[in-house]
Parts: sequence; C-alpha cells; structure tokens
Amino acid sequence: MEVAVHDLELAYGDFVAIKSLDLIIPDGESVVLLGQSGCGKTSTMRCIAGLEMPTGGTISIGDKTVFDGNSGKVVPVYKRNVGMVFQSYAVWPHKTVLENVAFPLKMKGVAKSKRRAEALAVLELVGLAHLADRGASMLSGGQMQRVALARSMAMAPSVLLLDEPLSNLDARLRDDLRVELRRIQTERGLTSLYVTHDQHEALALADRIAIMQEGRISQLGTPEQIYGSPVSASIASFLGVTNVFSVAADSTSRSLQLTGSQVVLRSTSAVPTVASSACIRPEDIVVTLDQPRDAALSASHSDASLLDGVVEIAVFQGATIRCKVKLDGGMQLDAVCAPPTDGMLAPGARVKVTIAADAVKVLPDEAPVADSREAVAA
Amino acid sequence: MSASLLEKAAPEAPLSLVPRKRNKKIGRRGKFGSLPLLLVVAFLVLVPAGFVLLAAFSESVPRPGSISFDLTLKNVDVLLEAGVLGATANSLLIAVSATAIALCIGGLLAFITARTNVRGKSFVFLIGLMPMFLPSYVGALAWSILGSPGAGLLNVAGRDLGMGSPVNMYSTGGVVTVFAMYYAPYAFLLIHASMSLMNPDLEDASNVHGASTWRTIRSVTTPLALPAILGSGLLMFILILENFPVAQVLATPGQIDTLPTFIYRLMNTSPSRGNEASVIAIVLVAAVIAITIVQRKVLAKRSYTTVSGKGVKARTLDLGKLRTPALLLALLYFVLAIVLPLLALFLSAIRSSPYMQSFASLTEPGALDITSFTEVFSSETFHTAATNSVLVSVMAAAGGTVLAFLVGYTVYRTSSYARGLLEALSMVPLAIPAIVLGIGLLWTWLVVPVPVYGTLWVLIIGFVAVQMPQGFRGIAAAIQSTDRDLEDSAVLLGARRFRAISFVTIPLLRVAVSSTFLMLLMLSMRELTVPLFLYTTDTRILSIAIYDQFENGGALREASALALIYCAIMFILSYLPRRIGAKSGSGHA
Repeated sequence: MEVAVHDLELAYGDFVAIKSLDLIIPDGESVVLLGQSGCGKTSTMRCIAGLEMPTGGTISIGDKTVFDGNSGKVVPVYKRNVGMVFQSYAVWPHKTVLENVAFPLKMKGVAKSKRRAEALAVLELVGLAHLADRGASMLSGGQMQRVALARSMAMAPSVLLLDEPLSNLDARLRDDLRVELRRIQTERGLTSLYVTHDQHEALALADRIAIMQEGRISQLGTPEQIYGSPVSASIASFLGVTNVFSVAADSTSRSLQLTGSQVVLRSTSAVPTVASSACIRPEDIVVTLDQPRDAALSASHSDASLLDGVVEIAVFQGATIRCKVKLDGGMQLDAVCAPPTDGMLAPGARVKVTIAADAVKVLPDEAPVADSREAVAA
Repeated sequence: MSASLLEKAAPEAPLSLVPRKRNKKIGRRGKFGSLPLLLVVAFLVLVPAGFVLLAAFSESVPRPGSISFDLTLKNVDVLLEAGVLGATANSLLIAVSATAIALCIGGLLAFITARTNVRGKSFVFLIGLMPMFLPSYVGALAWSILGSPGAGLLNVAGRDLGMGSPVNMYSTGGVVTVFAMYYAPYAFLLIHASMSLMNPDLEDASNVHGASTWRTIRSVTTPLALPAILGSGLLMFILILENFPVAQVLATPGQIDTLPTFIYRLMNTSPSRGNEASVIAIVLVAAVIAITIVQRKVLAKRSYTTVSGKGVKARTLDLGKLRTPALLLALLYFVLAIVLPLLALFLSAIRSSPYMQSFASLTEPGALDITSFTEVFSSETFHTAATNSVLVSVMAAAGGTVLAFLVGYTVYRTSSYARGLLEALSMVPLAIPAIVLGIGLLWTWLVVPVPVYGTLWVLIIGFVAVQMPQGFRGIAAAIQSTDRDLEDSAVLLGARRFRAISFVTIPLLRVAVSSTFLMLLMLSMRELTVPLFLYTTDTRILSIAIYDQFENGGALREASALALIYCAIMFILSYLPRRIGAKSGSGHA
C-alpha cells in the first residue's frame, strides 16, 4: 500500500532530528533512504512504524491516516500492520524458527492448523523450511536475517521496513542476500522502505533512492538519476566521488579555477552562483605514462583537461589500478584506471592525466532546501 | 531544474531549527502512564524519610491522628551531649579500624587466589566468600558465646589451661574483629575481580624494564587494583558505620555506644526520645550520603582497571615455599569466621546447662543433650517465626521483584517523564541506614489510617522499601542488556504491548528475574534491624526470634539451635541461585 509522509517533524527537546520531511512510497515500490549515520533515516522509519512519536506532520498508510500531528490521532503500533526487519534481526532466541514466523499469524487469529502450513510456506520462500523446528538461538547471522524477513512477510504487511538489515553480515553473504532481497521484493510486489548508509546496497535494491542529510531529504530519484546527476557536492562525495575540489569564485565552465592550486579544469556544466565544487569520479580520470607519442593522442581530446603529475601511491586491484597522482599544479587526484599496457604506474612515475569535460561536474556544495517536494512531483 | 531550485533555496535556507509548537496531546499517555508507580515508590521511601526529618525538628514524634508541625531547634542540642560525642567517636574508630583490617584480610585472600599458585586455590576462594552467607549478627552472637569475659567458651578453655581469661569480645577490639571478619568478603569479591581481570602485559612491561617481582606488585599491581580497594573500603565503611545488630550484641554489654545503638536506646528509653533520635539519625544519613558521593567519584575512575577485556589470563606468581603457609593463613581466617562460631553455637545448643565452669564438666553424664533441636523444631515459637519468615520473605521478594521490574521497565523502556525520578527514588534507601528507615517506617505505618501495623503486611512493605535498590539494580542491568528491538518486533507483528512483554521480554529476563527474587528472599531472611521496629508479638520472624532469645538470656540452648537451623536455611538459599544460573546458562546459548 502507498505510504505518504507529509511535513514530518521529530524533535527531542531542542534538537530537531527530522525537519519537515515529505516522502511518498508508491504501492509496490521499493524506496531506499540513503544517508550517513545520524541523518535521521532510522528515526523516519521508526516514526512510520510507530515506535517513535513524531512531534508534527502526518503519516498515512494506504487510505488510513496512522499519525496526525494536528488532530493528535495516533494509531498504535500493533494496529498498523507494518513489517520491520531490524538491524539486530530481533529474532526471539527462546523460540523456534517456526514459532517466530507463526507469531504474526497467531496475532491475526489464524487457526492453529493453518498457521503451521502458512509459516512453512513463507519459510520456503526464504529457503529455511528445513530449519523450522530449530531453536532460533542456534542460527547463523544470515539465517537469522532470513527468519526475521520471513516473520515480517508472514503478516502480509502493508509496508515492509528494513533497517540496515545486511550491515551485520560479512561481505560475501551480504552480496548474496542483497540479490535475494531484491528478488523477493519484486516477486511479491512488496511496498518497502529500506534504510542504509551503503550506496551499493541502495543502488541495487531501490526503485527510488531518497538521499537524506541532516533530517531532510535532499534528493530523490531513480538509482540511475542519483548516480548520474547528484544535486550537490556533498551527495556526490557520499556516493563515492572521491575528487571534490572547491571552485574559486570567478570561475567559468571553460576555465575552472580550483581554490588552493594552480590547476585549471574544463567542464560542460554551468557554474552555480553559490559556493560550489568540481566533482570527478575516480573512474573517469585517465592516467597514462608520460611518453612522447602520447602527445599526439591526447591532442585529439580537444575538450578535455590535460594535466601532468607524478604517481604517489598505486594499489593493484586486479582489473584496475587505483592510484593517487600529485599534479604539478599542487593538488592530489584519486584515479581508478586500467593497468597501462606499456609499463607500470609505479610511485614516482611521471604521468599524463586526461579528464573529459563532461566528467567534471560543478555542483553546489549543499543541496538546496525544499528539494524533496519538487523531486516527488517530478 | 537546478537553476529554479537555487533561486528558491536562498530565502528558505535559514529554515528555523527551533521545533514548532507541538500538539500536547500526542503521546501523553506514555509520558504520564507511570504516575501511579511513581506515587507508590515515593510513598514507600519518601514518607518514612520525611517523618524522621520532621521529627528531628518538631516538638513530638508523629502519632496516629496527630502529626506535630510545631517546629523547634531544641532537639539539636542532643548533639552536644557527651554520650553522642562518645558514640560518634566510637562509631568512627570502629568503622575505620574494622574497614582497614577487613581490607587486609579480603585483599590478601583476593591476591593469593587471583594471582598466586597457593595450595588449594579453589577452596581458598570459597573461604574468601563464605562468611558473606553467615549473617553478621549470628556471627556476633556466636562470638559472644565464645568470648564474653565471664562465661565465654574461649575464656573457660583459657582457665582450664591456666591462662586466665584471654579474650574479651565485649570491647571495641571485639566489635572491630567481628566486623572485620564478616565484612572482609566484600573487599575480597571486588579486589578479586579487579586482580583477575588485570592485563598481564602491564606487569610484564614492568619486569621488562627492570623491576623485581615484589617491586612490580608494589608499583604496578597494587595501584591498578587501587580503585577496587578504595571502592570496597568505602562500601564496607558505610555498612559498618550503619550496622546495628553486631554493635548491639557485642558493644552494648561492654558499655560501649555506637551511633546506631545510641539511636536505638533513645527510641527505647521511657519516655521515648524519638525527636532526639531523629536528629542523630539525620547526622548519620548525612555522613552516609557524603561517603556515598566520595565512593561514586572513586568508582567512576575505575575504568582503567578493566582495560584488559575478556579472555585475558592474569599472571600467576609462584609462591614457592610460601604455598602452604598461605593456605594456613586462609584456614586460620576460616576457623575464626566460620568453624569456631558454628561449633560454639552447636555446643551451646546441645549443652543441657547454660553455665559451664570448665570443659571437663562436659564429660559428666547428662551434660550433653541433643534434644534441643527436636524441641526447637516442635516449639510453637519456631513454627510461628519460621512460617512468618517464609511468608514475609516470599511476599517481600515477590513484591520487590515485581516493583523492580516495573520501575526498571519504565526507566529504560519508556519515554515517561518520571524516569529519572523513579531511578533516583529507588536508590534512596541505600543512603538511609536501616535503623533510620526502620524508625521512619514505624511512624509511617502507625500514622497511615490503613490497618497494617501489627500484621505481617507492615514487615512486607518495610522489606520491599528497604531492598528497592538491590532489586532495581538486579533487574535494570538485565533490561539494559536485552535488545529492545526484540519486544518492539512483537508489537509490530500485531501484539499489544502487554502481550509482547509477556511473550518476549519476561521469558528472556527469566534468569535475572528469578535470581533477583532469590537475592531479595535471602536479604529478607537476614534482615534484623528494620523488623526490630516493626514486629509485634504475633509477627515475630526467625531473625527476631533468635535475637530475642539471646537478648533475654534465658533460652540460650534454643536460641543456638535456632541460629544453626537458620544458618542452614541461609546456606541453601545462597546455593540455589547458582544452581539456577548454571542450569539456564547451559540451556540457552
């Protein structure tokens, strides 16, 4: 069911954790709240669940208003039919797997005989039917995760909330479960809200991503939109853009002056009037060994920035090499590129750095406030 | 899109950080729901304390139907009486020297069990712990049998051997010795924990830089254990300072007053001088609060002793030739604190005549008679007292556990306004000596127009009030360490809050709840000071019955037998929680 959050505010005393937040999760969609810890994303989720009492705004699930700050109406948690998978899983260690999963059915008044069959069916979906009668304290982290998911799905929730459900798992398991979560979510058409601080997780699981910063949603869009055109430098840097340099006041896009260095870049994007930065993904930077014949080659990139520098550190990563290049102009670039065929990017090597103009994005440092309403409308 | 947004952004940017005006109705129930609980807790502790405070500054003590509000300062004059000054001096002298000796005993035992290869290590550990389970006033009673100047068994033995009467327990020295012996386990426990968790690298570092073993113990080990030493020292100092029974049994016959016995005497003179007793009580409370604050500060700095974390095995020191002498030293303490007192009680329980000129008289026919135990078992006194004790203790422990759970849950799991206040109130009884709280409870339940005085209920209520801090601590630690998501998830899945608590939280806290219950049960069984003010002829409990029979002299045999039976009950009660803890530990990983 569609979840609509309007003008939500949550304050503890004078500290405002969520500021005038608007968010709509369309029926059957998966929205990911992505942000650094402390940005208010988990609080937002707990407000929807009813575990946290907002200080203002409205929340509705389907056509039912579950919280209204003006009239003071609050639907208690247990009547909201909201499923939630906790970061700590919250699987009850003193019950068996089946008892855990059958609990919401019991609360719905499903007959005892039907309960077992239904619970087993959900366990089947997460691939744990064979462990149904095992004590829940004997499970591994990944299995607990699945039990928590099955338990929430057994209640056929109006919306499923997931609070960093993969963060306690090791990297390999996390990758597997991420794919599986996405499968179950699309298969079942679950309306879900997923909270994470991991951009890869967000990109993989979302129909739409809402970037949350300091209690506000600063950008909302499809994973492609968010990844391709972040609206601010701070969002870009959060999404893995490691080269962020503030731009001097009187720059134009043909000649971007970077503060604190002599380097001048070219860009295709217009320079905003507010404080802004040039953002370059490390993958978009081409590093080649400084050899005479390259000059002809780079000349063809008339619209690119051509720079000279020295490799400081190079880390071999298999398919790619990640290196830090100290430019002659005085600044340091982070680049990820294919290993050169004609030599080694060893520390101390002179290199040429090529950055295409459309790879250099000039973005305002902070996203403009009140963006979220616009983005939802778009 | 960015251009239009940016233009809009500028005027809106300084969006107010101050929260807007809230709808006051939201969540009110959750914030005020605990008001009844707050009232109960406040009534349990604040009213008794308030009555003592009022009595200290008014003309007469609170009586049913007449609470005096005629304020006066004349009661304060009592502080200048010679008796009070003497009692203060005695109390301080006794508390300081007993604490020092207890620290030596406990610290030494802790060191040799935690850090050396003493012979019979696990037995020495038990020796360090065991005197805790013998109520200190039973120890005092036993030592008065052993060391009273005239008929004390040790003095009888001394005369038999032609050494005169070597021991006088009715003296400051005697009181200090008994306190030191029975409070040493507190020091032992705290210092042992600190020493066995100590990171061996710290000491190795000292050796590596050229210090000898003993030098290392002096300049690294001891300073690292210092917070535990100081913390346990202050704890014992408070407990000894406010202890009434031991001083009453040993100091009073020797014409020595301490502050608690002086308060008790003022209360029991005729006419009762309750107002002046209250003044002294308040001085005692002030002293205890001052020391508690110091203790908190000391314990707050404790962190550097536990830098090691888990799984660190502390270094053990090879005692060499001293392995056996160290064990003997521990055994000496064991004999003095446990074996001799129990033997003395046993002997006086089976002696047919309460008077004994010489140990030789025991060989006379009919001198020994084991029937006292059967007599006690079949006596009316025992039946009533035992039944009352069990009833009162079980009810008080159950009530205390439920209250502790409610308070703990409210403090750590709700957004109630009363949280901070509830937590603080639960800890108040720690700062009020039992003798003071006893007086306050007496006045409270005499005045309150509810017919509980003279019934077992007043004892139950009193015990619940006195033991609130222990109950709260036991449950609160467990609630804090249980992830609250476990309960919240049940609510999300459709259970009402109460259902979620009973389905998830209580089963998960089962171990903590049952061990808190047993701890309160044991504390109730051994409490003497508070019931001393609250009991009536029909509501005597075991601790009172023993105390009464000893005080009234006549029934030494029965009293001794009763004390032994009582000790047996205490040992069983203290053993149970470990069994239960061990069982559930293995059952649930």
